This record gives sequence, C-alpha cells and structure tokens, in this order.
Amino acid sequence: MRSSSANGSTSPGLLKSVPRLLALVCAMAVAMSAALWWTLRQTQSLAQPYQQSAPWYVSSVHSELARVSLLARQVQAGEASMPDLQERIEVLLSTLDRSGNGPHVHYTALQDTLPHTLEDLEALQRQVERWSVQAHAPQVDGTALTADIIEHSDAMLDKARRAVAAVHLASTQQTDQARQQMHNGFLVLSVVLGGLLVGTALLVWRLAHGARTASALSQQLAQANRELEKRVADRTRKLEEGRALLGFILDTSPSDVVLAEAQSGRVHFINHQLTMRLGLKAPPRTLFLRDLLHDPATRERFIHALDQYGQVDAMEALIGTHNPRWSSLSARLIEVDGRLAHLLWGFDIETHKALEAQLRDLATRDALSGLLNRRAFLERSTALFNHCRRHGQPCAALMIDIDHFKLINDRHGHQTGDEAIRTCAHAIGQALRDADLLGRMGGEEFAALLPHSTAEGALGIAERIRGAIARTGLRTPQGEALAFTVSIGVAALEPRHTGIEPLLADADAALYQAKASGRNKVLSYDPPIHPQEPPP
Amino acid sequence: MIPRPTHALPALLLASLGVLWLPAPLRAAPVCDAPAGRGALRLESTPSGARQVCGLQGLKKLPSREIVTALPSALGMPGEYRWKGVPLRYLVEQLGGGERSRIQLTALNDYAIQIPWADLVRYDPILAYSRDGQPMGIREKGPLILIYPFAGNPQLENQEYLNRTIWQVNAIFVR
Repeated sequence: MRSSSANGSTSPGLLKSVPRLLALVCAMAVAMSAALWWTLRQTQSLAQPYQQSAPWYVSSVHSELARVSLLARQVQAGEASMPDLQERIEVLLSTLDRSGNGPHVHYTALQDTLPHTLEDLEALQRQVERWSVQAHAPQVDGTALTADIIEHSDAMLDKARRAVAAVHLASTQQTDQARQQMHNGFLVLSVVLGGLLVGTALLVWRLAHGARTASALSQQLAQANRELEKRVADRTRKLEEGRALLGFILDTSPSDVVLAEAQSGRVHFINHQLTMRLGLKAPPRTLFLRDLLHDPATRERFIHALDQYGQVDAMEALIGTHNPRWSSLSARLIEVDGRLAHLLWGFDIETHKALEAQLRDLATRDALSGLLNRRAFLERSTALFNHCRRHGQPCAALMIDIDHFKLINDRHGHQTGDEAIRTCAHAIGQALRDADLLGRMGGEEFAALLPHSTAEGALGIAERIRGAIARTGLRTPQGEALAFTVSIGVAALEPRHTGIEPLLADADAALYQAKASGRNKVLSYDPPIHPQEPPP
Repeated sequence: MIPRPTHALPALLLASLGVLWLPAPLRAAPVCDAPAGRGALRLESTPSGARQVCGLQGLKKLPSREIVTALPSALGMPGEYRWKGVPLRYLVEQLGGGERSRIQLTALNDYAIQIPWADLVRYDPILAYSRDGQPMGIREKGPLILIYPFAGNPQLENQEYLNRTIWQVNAIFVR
C-alpha cells in the first residue's frame, strides 16, 4: 500500500516535467545548431589562407614604381641597360595586375572605401602599359621612354605614397571592423555556450532527481515483488499440501482409484489400494482398463459404455489378473492435459458377493440335505427338460421316497430321521452323474432329472440307488443298526410331455405304484395301468 | 594577412652583380649551358663556389618533371594546370648542396624565401618554366615559378607553402 501512494506522488510530477524538459532540450539543440552554423561559416572562411591584402598591394606598386623610376634614371645615365628597364616595367605591370592571374586582393572593398585611390591606380596601370608597349616596340626609343618615365614617375610616386597611407588607414579600419565582428560573434557564442551550460546543469539535476526517484521506485517494486513471491510460495505450499492431503485421502481410501491416459495408458495417479490389489510393489507406469477387467464379455460391455456415454456407474465386474475379485466400478472419460483419460473408481464387493452367493444358496438349497429345494429343482429341471426336448434328446425323471419314514421318526427320533434323509441324499448323489439334477421335494421325497438317459438307463440307475440304500442302512443315536429302504418311480420323456410337471407326475405315479406293490422296489411308468391304479 | 617581407635591394646592386659574376672563374662544372642572351636564373653556391647564369633554353635541357595541380585560390590563377620544370632538388644537388644547406630563392621583386631541404626530399617541388606547355611571361608569374604538388597533399594548403610558392624566380643561393 505504501508503494502505491509513493507512485501516486512521483509519476505525475515526472510526467508533467517531460514537456518542459523537451522544450529545454529543443531550445538547446536550436542554440547549438545556430552556434555550429556560425562556427562552420567562420571555419569555411578560414579554410584557405589569403595571400594578398590591399596595403601590400599598394606598397608593392609603390616600391616597384620607385625602382622603375630609379632604373630609368640609370638608363638615361648609361648605368643600366634597356632590357633591365623592360624587365622592371613587366614586374611593375605584374604587380599592378588585377586580372585573375594576379594575387587576390579585395578590389571591391577598395572600390567602396577609396574610389579615388583606385582611380589613381588604374591611371597608373594605363600609363605603365603604355610604357611597356613602347619598351617592346621594334624600334625602341630609349631616350623618349626614359624621359617620359622620369617626367611622370615623381608625381605618380607621390600619388602612390598617398594611396599607401590611405589604404593603410582603410585597411586598419577594416581590420578593426572585422575584429569587432569577431568580438561580437564570440560574445554571442559565449552567451550561447553559457546558456547551454545552464541547460546542461538543469538536465543533469533533472537526471539525478529522476535517477533518485527511479531508484526509490525500483526498491518499492523489489519489495512488492518479494511480497508477491512470498505469497506465491505460500499458495504453492498450500496447494502442495492440498495435493498431498488429497493423495493421502485417495491412497488410504478403501476404494481403488486410477487415472490413466486412454491412448498411451500413462498413469497419472494410482492409489496404494489398487497397486496392492494388482499385486504390484510399486505403482505401474502404464495401465489399460481393458487389462484390468477379468471377464472378456464384461470388459467389452464396460469399454463400450465408457466410450459411448463417457461414463459408467456401479458396474459389477471381476478385476485383477491373478486373483480376480469382485468390484463395483464407476468410470469417467475425462480430458487431462488435452488428452483423453480414464478415471476409474472401484469398490471391493467380494464380501458382498460372497454373502449374496450364500443368500442364493439359502434360497435354493435345502439346509438338511444340501440338495436343491423344490422350487429351485423345478426351476432348473424345467430348463434342462426344455433343452432335452428341443434337441430331441432322451430324458428321464426319478421320484424317490423313503419307505416308512414316519415309523423311523416316531421310533428313533427326528435326529435319526434327519440322518436317514442325509444318508439317502448322499447315496443318490453317489449314483447320479454330474449332469444329472437332484432335489428334495419335501419330507422324505426326492426327485432327479437325468438328461440323455433312456428309460432303461434310468431304471438301471434307480435300481443302483435302491440297492445301495438297502445295503447301507444307518445307525441310531443309541448305536443300533437300522435298515431302511426307498421306493423309486421312473418315467422317460415322451412326446406327450409338454413340460416337466407331466413327466414328474408320471414318475410320481410309478412311485405310487411301487409303494402300493410292496415298497423297496423300482417301477417304471406304465400308461395303461395309470388310470385304474388306486393309491395304497 | 602576413605581409611579404620586402628586402628592397637597390636596383644598382642587382645590375652591378651581373658585371661581377661573369668574369669569376668557375670552380665547378656548370649546371647548364651559358645563355645566348639575357639569363633567366642566377645560381650561386658557397660549397662548390659555383656562380653561373642559366637561360630558359639551358634549363629546358636539364632533367624535368611534370606536376599537374591547381594552386590555392589565394594565389590567383584558378584552375588545374600541367606544370613542367626542373626539380629544385636536382639544381641544389648540382650546386653541391645537401641536407645541411641553406637554400634561398629570390624573385624579381626581391621577394626571397628559404626552402628547407626536407621539402625537396618529401615533395620534390619543381622550378616550372612552362604551364600547359606554354612559357610564362613576367605578368603571368613567369618565367620561373616554384610549384609544390598541392594536388593530393592537402597539408600544403597553408600560409607557409603559399609563401614558399615563389614566382618570378630569378636566383637560387645555396650556402
């Protein structure tokens, strides 16, 4: 919060000063450009040396004129030759020369300041040119020339002397003007440089101020950054803790949990429970759901439902490969990191399944003999009967009843009666094949359905049962040996049997017949006697 | 702005010198043929004791070199010219001069300047007698002018070398 208030006070100040700074820098740039322009102009004018000046020019003219004058006198006196005079005249002319070949002189300046002097010099030049022409004429009249020179030169020398003085004065004035211009120029340059110095000082001050502010801001920023980092670290830690807690919860959950990619089978998460269930020491790197499911049919159903609806809820299936156990499975098709993944929750229902099986047994089995009870027998024998009938297979039913069971109960007690039923059930079971179906129909009565068995075969089996029981007998609680027998009625499947009941009824009728005709015997169903035979 | 120093020698002395040197015995081989008429260049040397006068024709027979250059604008004569002449170094060496010599050139208007030996070695200036193949009159800074190779040597563009570019040369003294 401290940093935000500091920002509020400093940044608008900085922003406000930016246009002013910009104006200052622009002004400095303009001043510098002007100074640079002036300096460059001076540099340019000073780049080339200038050889000649007006004073030198006129003084040269004066001295050369004096030499010509002197030489003319010498020639006249015979002390010098004519070619010498010719040469000197040429030198004087070259000194006077103002064409491009001559030394550079500010004639225009001369013209402006001293027009009379310039006129005098021009007159002199014309005169000297005349002399030159005379001197170079084929017939040189030396006497006339020298006389002419001597006559005019003194007056011209006089003018030249005055010209030297005048030009000297004008030149000094010019020099002084140039000096003053230079002085003023440098004065202006000093002012500009001073202004630049002040501007630079101002900029340096602003820069230092800005640097201080920036330093303070960066410190605040660093502080804010540290706080932020701390908060991020804190959140990260909490998140990690949350993850660890979630992992712990999932690991300790009695459920099986796995999250694995659908395509690659890469395991994102698997809890301890499932790892143990799969008989692994460490969590597997890859896992496919189809490998987890034991039963192929269930597997297809499960995968199909998951692919089609994206979810499966509470499907019961055997999971695990080595020691499959019953589990209630729920699954979701989800997206993890842009890839399809399977999330599976399994709840172990092995105990539940065992209890269920037990209950089913209780519902279908007779507790005393361990055989199917009447309802279960009828249910299953109906299925078996229909199968045989549909496929035209032979099939036979036996009805078995313990003889004089009431007497056994009454004389030796219910324990002995129960023993007799158990012994009887065991003996029948021993005699039957695995495919045969046996049930206790109630009391001391048993029924068996023998698929693929003809009437003769069934009779043989029935006889074996009867014989075995007659031989076995049983012991009373008092230790006495007690013999007991059974009567058996046999009926084979015939076209008129539309269901199991008519077949059983026929077997029952045969049993009735066996009971009536003396017990401990096996009788086959005989249709003609069926209607007339009275019960015993 | 530097005024050219003027040694206003009397013309009489100049004339009388011409009388003096002619009969002097030559103690060294002449640098050039004696002129038919008036001499253009006077040569004097202390080391060799030579004193002689060269004509333009005599100079033209000596080894020559050409320099193509424009002169600094302060000298007038704008434009580039092909200057031809005798290397000053050749003349000085012929006169027995060398590294330790004082070399002085004088002009018709008595202007005089000393040329350092180093210049002769470094720039090899010529005593030009023709400009673009034409002889130069006195009005055109002739007949002899010392030409430095200003083209390609910008360091020469200062007052010192303007002063050394002596024209209307009429004498060389080697001491």
